[in-house]
Amino acid sequence: MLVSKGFEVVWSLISKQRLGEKVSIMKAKPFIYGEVYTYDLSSHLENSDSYTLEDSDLPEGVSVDVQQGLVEGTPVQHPKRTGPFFIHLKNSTNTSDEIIHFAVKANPRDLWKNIEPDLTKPFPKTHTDRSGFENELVKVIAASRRGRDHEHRGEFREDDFRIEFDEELQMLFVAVSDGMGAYERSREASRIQCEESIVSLTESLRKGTTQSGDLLRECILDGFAKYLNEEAALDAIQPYVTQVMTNAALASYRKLVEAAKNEGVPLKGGPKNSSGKKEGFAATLLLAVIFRHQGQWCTFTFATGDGILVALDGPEVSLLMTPDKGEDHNETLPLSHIQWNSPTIVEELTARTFIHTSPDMSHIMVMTDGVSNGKLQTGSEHLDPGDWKNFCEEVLEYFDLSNMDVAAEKLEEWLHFYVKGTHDDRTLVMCELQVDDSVSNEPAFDQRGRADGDQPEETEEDDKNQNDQGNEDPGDSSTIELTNGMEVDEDDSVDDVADVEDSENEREGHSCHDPINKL
Amino acid sequence: MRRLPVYILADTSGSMSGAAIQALNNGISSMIDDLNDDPMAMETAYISLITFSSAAQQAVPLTDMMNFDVPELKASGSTSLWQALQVATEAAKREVNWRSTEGEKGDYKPLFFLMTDGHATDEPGSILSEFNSVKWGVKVCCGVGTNVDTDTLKQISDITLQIESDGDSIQQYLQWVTNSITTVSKSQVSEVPTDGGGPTDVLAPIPVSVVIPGTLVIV
Repeated sequence: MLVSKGFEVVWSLISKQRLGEKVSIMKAKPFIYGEVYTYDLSSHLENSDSYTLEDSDLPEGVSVDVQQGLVEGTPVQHPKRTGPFFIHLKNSTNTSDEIIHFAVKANPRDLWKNIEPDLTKPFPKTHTDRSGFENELVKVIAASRRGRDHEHRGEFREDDFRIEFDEELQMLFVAVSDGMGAYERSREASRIQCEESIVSLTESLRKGTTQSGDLLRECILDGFAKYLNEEAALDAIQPYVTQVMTNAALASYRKLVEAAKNEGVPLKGGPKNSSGKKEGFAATLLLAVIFRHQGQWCTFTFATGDGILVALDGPEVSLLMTPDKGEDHNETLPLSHIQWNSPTIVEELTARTFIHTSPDMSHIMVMTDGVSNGKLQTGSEHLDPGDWKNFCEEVLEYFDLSNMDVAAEKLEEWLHFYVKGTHDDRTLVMCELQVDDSVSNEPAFDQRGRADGDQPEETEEDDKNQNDQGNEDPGDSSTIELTNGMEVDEDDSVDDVADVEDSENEREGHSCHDPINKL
Repeated sequence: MRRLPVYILADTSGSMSGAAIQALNNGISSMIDDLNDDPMAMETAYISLITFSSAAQQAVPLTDMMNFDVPELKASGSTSLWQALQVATEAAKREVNWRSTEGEKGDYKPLFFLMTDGHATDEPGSILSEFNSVKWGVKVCCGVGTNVDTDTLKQISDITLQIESDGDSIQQYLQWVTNSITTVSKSQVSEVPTDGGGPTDVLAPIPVSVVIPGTLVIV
């Protein structure tokens, strides 16, 4: 270690000071290696032009200009020098000595460690994950990355995501989940939720039926065709879509209940364990179903918790969720904390289910708050147009790459961006909807959408059903079936969900959550 | 960026002189050093130091860890505790970036830690209601020794406790304050459920060994 000249000079001047000489020693703003530094001497000296530089010891990259009264530059770290640094000024009028010394403080970026988690812990998860592919309908780029905070503490990533393109249905399913750090098994909760919700979506949309036995998919596509061709309200399909989406959420919830039982822990936590976490499972869930039908893009979404789920229609941004916001900053509602037996559960689930359709939809983006807190700091409730534009410029260019695999790799790197104070896990799924519409996918879709493969020509009776839907006929096909009679823990009972039919009439006129919060 | 504001109120009345004021100085110094070593705390915590004796003043306005200069506290005079609350209330209203419009994310709710070894020598007036109109994240009052007006402290805080007046206890208590700031700054990174825990849930585990038995009150 090189001996700092600073110590010697400062000590000799302190000795002079003790002997009654005019020496003043002052502390200036500390340096941070690698960060631009400016210090105005006039904040210490009354008449900086009456001083001359007697001596100085400053890190490489920093210089002093006494005439200008400035110390400035970008300090470069020397492997063996830690300071203290100083400048020694002499006042030409009264020959007093002025010492200004500069400490060095660590750059917070250098304090972040990257510690491997204990691999013997249950539910290990890779630090990153990514996925990139393209077909005639969509290009998808997705990545997830362990945040600096988890790296620093040697903890696993808690975010998760799944993407599946169902060839048979020609539909894209996206699930993104953010495990909550306060719960021991949140990384497993996010994995379960992503996996189970997509299994459920596939099943519901392939084979799911309404209570009266009609194929859910058929009901949705009929209603959607009527909306497109006959200007029927899109609301008509809301109950079916709600059924599909909330079944996915409920299927995930049941898996969580099962997992908690297997682990022998309460689902929602209980007291804190020795590592300061609650034992249970807690994670947000953002779900999207994306498909093209009769020349229109259509998206169904469901969300609980925070994060951002949006559709881009050219320059227009539509938020396809209602962010949960507690009174405080980061309070949010994980799937495991939904009150499934609440008397207003149907309304709540319906309010969480959005239908968005547009011929010009260009992108769907789903992200955890690790991304949005870093790049869209005003939060999801009021996307700042400037922030949003910058964000899109940064990430959408990856779609220009010829290989989506490579694009996903690039996105994974991008997710490591450094923004002070925001170091959560980050997950971003971006879907670019292919504008080149050869409509080649649609006949196949329609054939599957209808038992007989007929063109969507509606009968009078169909029409009547649609118009009366959810209104006079309590037994009609719009009934939501949220339960399949699976047994759950008493504490986490979902039995009452069967009662949702009782509140059927209250759904009447519930608006479909079409585009809101447009910029 | 969302900051985590922390208001530390320290009694510097004459009765604190000796080991107590020395422990307070050392404790605050170590606090800033420790927080400068934890990247999350260093990036998000902002601390203000308010001292009170015959008068109360904001010795250090809300400052980030990097630029926090630890002043040397000296003990003398009486105990203007209520005035200190007034100074803290005004400072929090002025310095914290409160969520002004719906949807905007302001700073995190400020933490409040008060330490005193005696009885207030000034009058409360209407300060308490003003103080309570600030949305504090968590309010902790620590009495040093047994000659403390705990009834007053209980009116102010979510958590009230008393510790022995020796230097070690004071430093250990301040270490807990430091750990709590670190813990809270960490918990801000990840979400908490809307029905999640009370005030003690977000802080570091209370160092029971320095608390005088039977004095811990959590509202």
